Amino acid sequence: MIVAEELVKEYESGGTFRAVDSVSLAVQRGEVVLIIGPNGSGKTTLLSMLGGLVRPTRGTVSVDGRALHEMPERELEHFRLTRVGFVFQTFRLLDALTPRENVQLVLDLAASRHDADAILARTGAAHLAHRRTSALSGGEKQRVAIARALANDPAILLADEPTGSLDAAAGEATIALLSDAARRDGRAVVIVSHDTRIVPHADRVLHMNDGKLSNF
Amino acid sequence: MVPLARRLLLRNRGGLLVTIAGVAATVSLLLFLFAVHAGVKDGSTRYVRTANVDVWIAQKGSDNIIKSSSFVPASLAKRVAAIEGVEAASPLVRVISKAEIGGRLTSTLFLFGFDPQTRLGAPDGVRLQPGEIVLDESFARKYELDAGDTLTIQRRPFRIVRLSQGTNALLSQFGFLRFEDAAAILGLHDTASFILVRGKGTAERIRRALPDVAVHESADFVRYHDEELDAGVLPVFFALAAFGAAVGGLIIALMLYSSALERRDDYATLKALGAGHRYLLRLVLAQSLLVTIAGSVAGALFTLAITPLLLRAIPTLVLLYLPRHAILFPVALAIGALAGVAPLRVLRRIYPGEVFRA
Repeated sequence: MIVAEELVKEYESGGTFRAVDSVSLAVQRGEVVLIIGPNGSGKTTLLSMLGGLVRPTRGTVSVDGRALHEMPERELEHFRLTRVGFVFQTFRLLDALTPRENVQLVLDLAASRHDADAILARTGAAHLAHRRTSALSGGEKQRVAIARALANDPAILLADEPTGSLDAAAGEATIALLSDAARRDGRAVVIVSHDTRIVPHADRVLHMNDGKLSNF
Repeated sequence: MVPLARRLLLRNRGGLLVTIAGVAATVSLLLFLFAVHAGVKDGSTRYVRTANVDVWIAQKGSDNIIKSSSFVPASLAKRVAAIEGVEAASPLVRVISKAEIGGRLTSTLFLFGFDPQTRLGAPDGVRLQPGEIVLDESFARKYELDAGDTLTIQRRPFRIVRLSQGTNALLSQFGFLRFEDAAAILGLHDTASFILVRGKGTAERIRRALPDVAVHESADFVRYHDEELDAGVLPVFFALAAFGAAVGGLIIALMLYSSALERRDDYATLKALGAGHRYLLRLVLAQSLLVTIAGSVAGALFTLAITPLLLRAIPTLVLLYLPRHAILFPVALAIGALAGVAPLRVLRRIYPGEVFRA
């Protein structure tokens, strides 16, 4: 499903800084992979490369056999739009839009005919559809954000600290939704987090330190 | 696209209002300039257009009644009248003078003295008795005069018998009196400014008979006025209009640029979700056009509201709004679209990976 081989990401900043160092990883459909590690260990950079947001300095990433690192920018945009769902620690909802409109926006971008209300209902956010996004609680926002991430029925779901800004109950609900996305829908789910509550829900837990990935 | 653009604009209501007000002020200024130009043009040329004259005879090198000097013998009219095909010919004298009202001097008037017999050059064919005058309406309004009132010109009293319209050239207004009254003010004998002729197709015969004067067919004479006026004022109006349009465009561009900076997170999120650069461009363009449309409508309404107040405050102002002035709105949209390129560089530099920054 997701196959990364010998991924390296280097940044030039008064010298060469290697954020991700020769990481190889394979994530299957229906699998939840949790990557834990300290701040600055390269987790988010790895997630960005898996989602086609950042191009690797070296190495390869492919999803369903399609090589992301070779895609031109417009193709990569289309790939993100149709194949990847992102969940962020700070939700990244557009406050200018209602929750329903946030979901509909992705559907419109992808010219999809899926029903925004039904998608919101799946994450338990149907009652929030027409509320002001900025007035929602963290847990409510994350439900909407997951709905948006699922809007285009993506093959892979990438979550960056999805419970980082949530209280315990909202965190549990978020974990359940992500887990459900893998178990029920057969998506490949990669979660980057410090939150050890996620460990029992993960099929595999990997540890990242100084840009290197190892089994926990 | 448009709902999102509208919502993004509404996120900064203060900035949006200021921008709409700026665009409205620009549109209003441009409409005002167009209307002043049209008004001045109409006021400067309507008399010539409606004088019911077929041929204008002037001093050599003179081709308009506003911005050129012309002296010809008044008695020339008799020679012209004898030319085949000429139905009537009579002198018209122009005098430039201030008037006096209650011991106070007015602004300068262009006084035209026409022959009371032929009434060639008489506004609307008016009949005047000695000591009577037809006065431009805006001039009369400016000095609170009306029909029946009297004013003094060169120590000669004149009773206002009628007010005329379309006789306001902005910097000066027209008055009409009998030829002998105007000649007496001028103080020169057998002197006219123009000889006016009624008789279609006589211009060439008059030219052959009178080679030392300028002979203009009416349509040409009107065109010369248009050209003279355009040459004099159009560059100024164009410069002002271009400056106004540039200011309006800059206001929109500044708003879009600062909005792109303020909403950087939103644009990064859109990019991360898969929105392409073209989508973001269209989004910014939609915002720009929405602001331009709102500003244009507000500007037009403001202009409608303020016009009566302006005309009351400045009686000699002539504002003529014409259907062709509607060209301003597509032009405004084009400027708005052009302003949409302002945040291009900011948008291009937004990196979708920014979404992972806490």
